Amino acid sequence: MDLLALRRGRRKAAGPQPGPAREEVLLFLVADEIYGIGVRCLRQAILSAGLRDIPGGQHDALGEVGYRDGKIPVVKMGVLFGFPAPADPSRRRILVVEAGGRRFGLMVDGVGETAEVDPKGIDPLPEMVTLLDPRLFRGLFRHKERIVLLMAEGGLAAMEDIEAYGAGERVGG
Amino acid sequence: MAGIPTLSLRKGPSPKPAALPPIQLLVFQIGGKLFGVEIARLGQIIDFRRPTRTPRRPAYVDGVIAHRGAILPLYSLRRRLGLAPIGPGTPGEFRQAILLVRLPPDDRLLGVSVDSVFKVIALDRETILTPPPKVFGIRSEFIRGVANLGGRPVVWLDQERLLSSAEEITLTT
Repeated sequence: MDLLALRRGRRKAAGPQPGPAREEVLLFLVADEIYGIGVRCLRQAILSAGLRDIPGGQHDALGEVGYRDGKIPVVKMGVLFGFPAPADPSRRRILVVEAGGRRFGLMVDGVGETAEVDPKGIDPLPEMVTLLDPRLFRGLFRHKERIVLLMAEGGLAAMEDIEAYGAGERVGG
Repeated sequence: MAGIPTLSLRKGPSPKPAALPPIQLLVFQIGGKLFGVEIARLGQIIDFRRPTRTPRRPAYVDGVIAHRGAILPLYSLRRRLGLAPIGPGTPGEFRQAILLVRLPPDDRLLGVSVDSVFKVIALDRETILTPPPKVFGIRSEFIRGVANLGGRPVVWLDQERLLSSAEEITLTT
């Protein structure tokens, strides 16, 4: 099935864990670059077929999709990032994220493996490499000879379009 | 008491002012034209490698690269000078390289891609000409001098100013 078992608390430690705390990150594709997001904020990965534009929506990068009994806003990451649409859209997925008291989706061009990252190995994003709000990114890390841009779920949740999405589900009280 | 004739002080060989050492320039090509940067202000030259493209980046930023454990921004000098990126139809021969330079005020290291590295030359200071107001469409503010290399002009760039400025430049051919 398409769903990923990424629920919080999946890994329960049997006792004290030695060494530095490593963070589990889900890797995903936008265009042909690799991005990551912390697994702890992920709830599910669903097919993107149900994605639709928001009636009267003012931002191309935002759509919505039915989720459970309601609907959630979805950030089209390729549009947000200014990358062309993938040649093969069949691998597109919507990652359902809960952060900042909001539930929203990220439409990505493909979902990959998970990686364990030492927080000390996350470099800050250098200046001037993006015109987007730097709060959207936690930083960069190296994974198997590639550079991964790590998204900041809190920054995504604070995007104006998500905050302004009237029907955006509030979660966690 | 006879005074010391003033002229006697001028006898004998007068000491020559200490000759300034020649300036070492790394000469490279952009759009078929020769440019130079001072070797003393250059960290290293490395082979070109595909950058990780960052989202919504400025036109002259190619992305980021990994180098010796660090992640550095990669600027395209070609794009900075208003030229299209090298593609299958771009005329000319290219062996792209990356110059590692440090930029004030914080001495941050970044990579700058060039079309191809030409050679290192040593220039006597008196052979370096003050630039006219514009050379190849580049204002003299971004140029430290112009030299002659076998009948071809070499534009000695002030890379710190060029890479710190947002002024649009279009290289004239």
